[in-house]
Amino acid sequence: MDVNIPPGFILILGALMTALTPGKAHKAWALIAPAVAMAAIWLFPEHNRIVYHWLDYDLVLAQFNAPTKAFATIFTLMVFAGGLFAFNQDRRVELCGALLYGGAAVGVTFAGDLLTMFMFWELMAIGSTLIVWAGGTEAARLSGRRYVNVHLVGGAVLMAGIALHVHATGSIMLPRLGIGGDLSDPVRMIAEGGRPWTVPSLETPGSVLMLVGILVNAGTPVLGAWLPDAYPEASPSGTVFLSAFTTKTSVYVLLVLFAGCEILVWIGCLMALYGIVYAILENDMRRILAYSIVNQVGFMVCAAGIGTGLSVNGATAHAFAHIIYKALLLMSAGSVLYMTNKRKCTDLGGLYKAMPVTMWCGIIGALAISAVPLTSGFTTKSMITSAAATPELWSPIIHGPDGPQWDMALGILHPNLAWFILIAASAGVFLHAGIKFPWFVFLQKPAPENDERKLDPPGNMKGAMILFAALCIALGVAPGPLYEILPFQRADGGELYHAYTYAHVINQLQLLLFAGLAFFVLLDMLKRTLTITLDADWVYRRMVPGLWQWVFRPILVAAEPFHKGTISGLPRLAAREFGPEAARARAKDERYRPWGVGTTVLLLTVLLAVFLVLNMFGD
Amino acid sequence: MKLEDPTTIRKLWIAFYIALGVLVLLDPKLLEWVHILDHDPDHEAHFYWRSVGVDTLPTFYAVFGFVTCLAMVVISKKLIAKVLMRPDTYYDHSPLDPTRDSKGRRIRRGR
Repeated sequence: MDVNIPPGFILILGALMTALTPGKAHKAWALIAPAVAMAAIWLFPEHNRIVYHWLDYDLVLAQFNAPTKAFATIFTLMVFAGGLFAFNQDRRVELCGALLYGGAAVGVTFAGDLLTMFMFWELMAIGSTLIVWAGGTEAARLSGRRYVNVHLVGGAVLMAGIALHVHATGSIMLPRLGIGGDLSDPVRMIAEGGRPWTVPSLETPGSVLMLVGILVNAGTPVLGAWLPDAYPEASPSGTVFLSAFTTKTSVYVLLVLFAGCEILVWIGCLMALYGIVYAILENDMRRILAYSIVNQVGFMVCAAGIGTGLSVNGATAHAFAHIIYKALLLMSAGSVLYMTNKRKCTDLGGLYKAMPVTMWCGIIGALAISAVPLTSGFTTKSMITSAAATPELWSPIIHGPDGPQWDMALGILHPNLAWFILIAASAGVFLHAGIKFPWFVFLQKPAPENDERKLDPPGNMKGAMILFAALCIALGVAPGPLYEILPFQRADGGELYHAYTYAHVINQLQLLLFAGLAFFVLLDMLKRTLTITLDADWVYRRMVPGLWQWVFRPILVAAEPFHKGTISGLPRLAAREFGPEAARARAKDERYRPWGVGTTVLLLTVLLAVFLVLNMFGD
Repeated sequence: MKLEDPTTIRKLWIAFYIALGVLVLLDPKLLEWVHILDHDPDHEAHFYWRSVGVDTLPTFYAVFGFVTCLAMVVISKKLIAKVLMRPDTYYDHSPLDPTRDSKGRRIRRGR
């Protein structure tokens, strides 16, 4: 049976139904819609394209790009598990937002052209903002406002990049990704009409703008301060939804548009380290996990920059596994917040007797994010570090007559450095998330004597956690089914990647356990304090308002007399000096009532809308 | 056996140290040197420093993991925290705790 519907639309329809269904029945859509969408994804014919002619463009609403299946599958699964986790809560707006958000994310992965991709990209911003606002607190309202502004600006930059690109090349189509004979070969990107896809070389302003717009969503330092700002302010279930889509969709877009873009290697390394440093310093448990998203996405961004078949497979697999264990960790943190109303590590601890299920699920998520053998992190993230270990095969390396050459803007950084940074970051993950999260939230201090508290959350929340915990282990023990839906397969159909070699397992355990030793040795230094650590959002939360209050506003106030003199004093003077009818003019002034700006803008908008509609039917 | 008991905690520490020691002894390159393991062609060094394979040195991962973690904690806590750390009431309605005002006093609920 073939299904010929863009799967993203099913989830978006689910969002509409959630909004319209009366009573508590609306919650059912959060489970039904992803189930139907999952079926639509898997029954979508391999080479099918759904094309819609709009203005002068052929929009490809749905087609399979290389990494589409893995990303769309995990996004849909995530909506389902998140819906289950949120089932006992009554925030209708949040569920609508989540279905819209997830549907738009699936839409991005299925988009076959830049315009469709961009439209779903913007829908994601709307859905996710609804989720932040559904947090319901004043802090959530303010941080949601910052969130939506950053994303609208980022979207505008992306659109500008797309417009320049389309203007220069005349094509809105995404490139086709292909691979040579071997998985370690660089990915080949072919634009429409068989021309090579040159965007990753960043030669045109359009490609640079596109990259910046995408990196805003990826949570890259300086551009990505919205992430730790907004995610911890959503409701316990809202954060679970938020953690999954925005950053991973941008990883997907980076893989599809920018595979082999050299600067991404270093941006990824920077993100991996930056996430660790901030996660070490933070106190709010969900802020710690938000920074660890930045750290994990860093690995994927780096893999996109490496741009070989192995690294693109690795980024896809890692994104798949990451969504599961990160959602699991945030479900665990969300359960703690939901049951205890505490969110700071300084207030938490000693919950191991009261919340056993939550703790064990949290620990499984923590082990998975640290890539301990037998968990999903080990079978997926290792592909990225393996690809990073062979810089001579990377896509950005130029093979000249003198052997492999590293010819790029950041040439001072030797490519060998990337692997060492990623390994250090892998150890750091164990430090800041693997041990720190369970330790400070559940252990840290002894539980009360005869602790009879039963704080494990309601059944649906436990069910969602157990489902994802089981998946973390299943993907670690038997990653085969995941490997089968990765973008590139071996020509001979053999196993894509073999994680379980003796050396790899032992080396990984050495790395992690000694990182654990470092944690307990430095435990005194890691004591939580009632602090936050400033991030780039300081610029628009403090610096710009400060500049306005202490610099620009005083200047304007000081300039006021000159301004007044210019706009009213001068004309009045002129009228008195040169105009014999000054009094009559003044009387006329009083009768003159201009239209407000609002009315004018409204009229213009209506006129433009009329033109748009006429234009659609015009030819 | 209770988790809060100091003797239990000491036992856990001893078990942890034993695990660390065993892991060091099980190092693939070490076992290769003492001829317990055969040479594994998939486990070649990728990075060389004067023809010594850095990433397959015995205990490379243990030492590298420990040292970089120490470095990351010390740098973030001693250096970066000095510059960027603020009380969590820094932003008026603190992003961490909307129940406190800018001076760190509890705001009564139900306003």
